[in-house]
Amino acid sequence: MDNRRMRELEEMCIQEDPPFCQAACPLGMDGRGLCSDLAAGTVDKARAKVEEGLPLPLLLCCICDEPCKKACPKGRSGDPISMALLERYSLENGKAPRKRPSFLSPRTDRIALVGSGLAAMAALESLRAKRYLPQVYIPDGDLAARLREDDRLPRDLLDETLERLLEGLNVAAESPSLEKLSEFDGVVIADGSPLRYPGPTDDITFATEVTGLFSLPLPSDSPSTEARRGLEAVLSLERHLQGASLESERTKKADRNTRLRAPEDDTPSEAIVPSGGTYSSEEATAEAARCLTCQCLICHPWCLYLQEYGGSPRKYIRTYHNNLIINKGNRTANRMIDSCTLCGLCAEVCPTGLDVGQASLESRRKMVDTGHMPPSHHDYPLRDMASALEETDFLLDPTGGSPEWLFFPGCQLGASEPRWVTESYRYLTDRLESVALWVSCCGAPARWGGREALYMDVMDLWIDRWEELGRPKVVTACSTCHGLLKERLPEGTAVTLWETMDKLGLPEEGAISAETVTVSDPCTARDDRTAREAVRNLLRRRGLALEEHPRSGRTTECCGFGGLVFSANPDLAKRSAARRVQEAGHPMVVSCAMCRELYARTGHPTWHILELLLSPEGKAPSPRPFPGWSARRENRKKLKAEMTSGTTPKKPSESLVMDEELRQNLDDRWIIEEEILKVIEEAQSGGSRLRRKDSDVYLAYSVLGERTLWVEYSPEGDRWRIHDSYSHRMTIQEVTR
Amino acid sequence: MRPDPVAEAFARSEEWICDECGVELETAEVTLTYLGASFPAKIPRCPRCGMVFIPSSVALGKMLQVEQGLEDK
Repeated sequence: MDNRRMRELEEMCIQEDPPFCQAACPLGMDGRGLCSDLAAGTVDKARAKVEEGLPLPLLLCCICDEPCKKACPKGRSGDPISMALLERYSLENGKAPRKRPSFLSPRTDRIALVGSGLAAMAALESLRAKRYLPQVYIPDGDLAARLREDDRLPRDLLDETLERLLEGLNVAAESPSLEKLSEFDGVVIADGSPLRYPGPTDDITFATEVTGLFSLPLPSDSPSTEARRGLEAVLSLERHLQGASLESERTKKADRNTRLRAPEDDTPSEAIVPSGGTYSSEEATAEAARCLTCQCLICHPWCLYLQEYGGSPRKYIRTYHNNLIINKGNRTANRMIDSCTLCGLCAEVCPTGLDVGQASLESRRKMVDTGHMPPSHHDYPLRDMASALEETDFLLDPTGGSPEWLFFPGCQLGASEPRWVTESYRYLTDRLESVALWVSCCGAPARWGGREALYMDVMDLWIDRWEELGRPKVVTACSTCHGLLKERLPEGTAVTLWETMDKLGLPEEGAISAETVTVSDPCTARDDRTAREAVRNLLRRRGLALEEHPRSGRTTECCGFGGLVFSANPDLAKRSAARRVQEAGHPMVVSCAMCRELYARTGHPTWHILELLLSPEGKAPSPRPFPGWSARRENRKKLKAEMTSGTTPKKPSESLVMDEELRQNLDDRWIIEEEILKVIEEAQSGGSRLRRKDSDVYLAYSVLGERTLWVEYSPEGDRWRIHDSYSHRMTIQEVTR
Repeated sequence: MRPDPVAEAFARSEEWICDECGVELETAEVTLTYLGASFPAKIPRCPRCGMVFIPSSVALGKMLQVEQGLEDK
């Protein structure tokens, strides 16, 4: 992800677009922030915001035309927020921000300001803040002439302001000639000057044909617009003096648009009317609390991950980028980048379709490419993938090389329950002419882990084998495999088992009784409406009463397995699954083997659809618990052995004894029993081991892949009692004396 | 002073002997490596065959911390 790509993605997030009030305010006043401060009772902060946002703040908020009110979404069904009153309250009740004394001398550029009115006053205030000491020409003799007609402005406020603005300046009550003005380094001509300005003025910079002379258009009825013009003219003048571009970055700034959407949940309310002319503390707080604090964050309620690290997708993308380009220091966002399930739900609900998952995946690829992917994050799933591709991969082809159909159930279905593969294969062979079965992995873990080259290798081998089989139509039982194969196979070549069953008929006829079930779609079927409908058709035809999960169809969410989050951030994955089952009103039915596992792991009764479709007529089977990672590996081996040689292998777990708490702990540490047995067998056949004094408890280790696995064990009959097992990734390099 | 958890964990090495050599473990300087970084560490081991002792409290405590620190570099 380079800078350009990052900015492109960042730009898609509208969270930092201004709220409606700020977009409508010519001065860009942060009304949302002001209301938040006042609602929270932090009046000093509110005052600081007003002083920063408005020139001549007290004066302006007495007479502001409040264009924000027209834009405020509260005005749709009630009264908009009374921003000017809130500003005034803040100024009168907040503590003045501490100003650092300036020890810098005034600037020596020769500047002239001609005219009167609010624009001239705002310009003068800005010039003074920037340490310019302009020559002031007031042709009509009163800098505030027009403002005096407004009875909302207290006379003493006006007088104090004028005194402060003009203090120490040369003021002439005359109209200078253009020739006279040419002696100055820069000139601002505001309202109240009878001068005819040479040439047209630019709408944004107010530049004229005379270099260094900036002239404002005829006065506006809008005080906020007038004030902004004064500030813009001074900005132009300053840039002119510095020799900088007058236009740079200003067109965009002047175009105050927002892509935000008005909040939907709004209860109509009336504006709080001040009982004594200005707000009391209670009144200001109540008025500010009416603010809807317009912002986007539409994605947040949908996604636990986006809530987990706080902030907008824009912030996430920036953090990803910073993490990738870091040279010195710690890459603290590694786990954050690896904690997105890549499920695409954010893009589905985002007004601009921003997919944080895409940014996360691109970042992972970069981490892999540059050697900064923490090996532990994806260690287990990649080892599991290797096992599925090498140890438990098998092909059954009764046609001898030219099947019309290929059933590819994926690697997880048989790991959960071998019967679901054997019986659905039998179902297909009973109804279709020539069907081969291939149990393997599509390479999804490599893709999710950012190892795109490895993924492409797996997929290329897959395609080669498929072509050797004469390009059969592929029936999939995993929506992840299905999605990835659809990317590579010709249109219509891959169909889901659910669509196939929906066409060919139920495996078991007759109704099955269960209370109402909640249907939960896998996130990888988000774009696959046909498959989702087939699942529902099949369940209904089986006699089940269905209820939709509140987040289903296109807005379904991941169980926590996707993107390998179950391994990189197990806690977040567990919470994702827990939230999803909490929102389900009934036992769940899923069409993804991993959804089944992760929901079952929470203790929520969850069936895989095949379990209900394959059961005999009558009552639904008791929902199975999560088998555990070890048993899943054994299940895969069992499936392969039974289908290829008709044997049932001895399970490692049959040789081991351990209490349930330890079994659970080892499962959470991704330590599988097959590996434990390897360590023991190595130690027992002449390897090194320690022995606890005066007992037959042993401690041994083996280096397995990139980990060192330790096992504390003792014999118990013809089995091994496991007392503990743990691993580390550091290697013991050498022993020195 | 807080007790050193690593030292405390290794103190339990007295409970173990090397099964093959039948001798008590002795603390020796050992080099641990991960992701290209090396650390010297004092670890109990068999003075004859070199079999080391790393208890779970060290593997899942200090060692894990160092591993994660290196992974986030």
